[in-house]
Amino acid sequence: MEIQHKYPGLEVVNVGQPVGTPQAVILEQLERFSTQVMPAFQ
Amino acid sequence: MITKFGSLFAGHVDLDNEGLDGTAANERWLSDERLAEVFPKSEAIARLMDRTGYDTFWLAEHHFQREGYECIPNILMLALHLCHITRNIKIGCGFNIAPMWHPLRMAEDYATADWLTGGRVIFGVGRGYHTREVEVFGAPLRDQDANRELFEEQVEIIFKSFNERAFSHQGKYYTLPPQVPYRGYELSEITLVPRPKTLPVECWQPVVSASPRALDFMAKHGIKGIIGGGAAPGGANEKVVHAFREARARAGRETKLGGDLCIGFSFHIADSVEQGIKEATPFFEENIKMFAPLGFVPGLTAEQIDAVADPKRARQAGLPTLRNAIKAGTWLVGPPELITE
Repeated sequence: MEIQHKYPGLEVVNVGQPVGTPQAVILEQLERFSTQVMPAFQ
Repeated sequence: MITKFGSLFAGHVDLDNEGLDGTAANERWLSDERLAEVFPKSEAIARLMDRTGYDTFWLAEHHFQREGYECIPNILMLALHLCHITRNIKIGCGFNIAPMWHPLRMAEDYATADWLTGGRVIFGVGRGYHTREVEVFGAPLRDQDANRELFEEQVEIIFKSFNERAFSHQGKYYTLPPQVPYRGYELSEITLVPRPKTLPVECWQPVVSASPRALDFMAKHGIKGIIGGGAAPGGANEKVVHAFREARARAGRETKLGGDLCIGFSFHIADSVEQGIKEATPFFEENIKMFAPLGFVPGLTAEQIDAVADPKRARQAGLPTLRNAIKAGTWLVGPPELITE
């Protein structure tokens, strides 16, 4: 939310895990982000 | 207002023995079967993102990485496949490295993917940063001026080929078409076949140097920018965001601050910050091992970079920690409500 106020023209954000993150962790984290963080922006 | 979320996958396969004490980066040499695991991994991420409402799944072009870090040589080919096994998600080229391509080959391949996926592949270009990749393909990288000059001419050609029904180009690196006879006439123009279905083509580029020349070039062509490393108050990216808008304005395009940009964060959701640090530190450290010797971890001394390659010395070298990255705003770690804030 903070970044949204700071940059009012920003419409697109990328989130993710770095090189080295196993598939299972990437999938778990992206799923959690989609259900626990993304709804706050809609 | 943030309305779209994407995720970048540079193409690493699952690795053993990670972290500063683990296998040194240059000691990794995976089997063909292990390296090819990047494809089912990409499929699994794309399917999940498609199901859960993400906008774009970005892929990165890299070559010859026997270590298993970045294993997708042809992102347009993979993008086409992923679009065919998903329903809505777009696949972003983050990025096709122009100096490793003939610009017309890249333009043709993108246009073909655009038609075959109904506009679900997002175009993106970059200059490259691995000498082992760019210079092997015969293009300059150590000579950064030459690399940028070549890149800019290539992008000019690509946009001409997208936007003009027939075109010609005369530059330092390319004469297109060459003056040759063809079926009874002298060739003076050519047509890209196919041209993209979706015009104008939306194009993205990483913002790395953020020099006025680079930002003005992006503004001239309407190229949107992707910035990695978060948005900490007072951090380097704050200056970049302002410089990006100023370059847009010089080109006659007024945007709100942050417009035409995408900012990237690494994140790890956990019950607490401490738990998140514990869980994600091995991946953070593997990332340091991968990128520090390439100059992408700012502020390191030559001795520290040397120590990264030695599992026996790396832990004592005073390297950045995940806790530092959280403080700097490049990583978001902790409970979901903290990340949302």
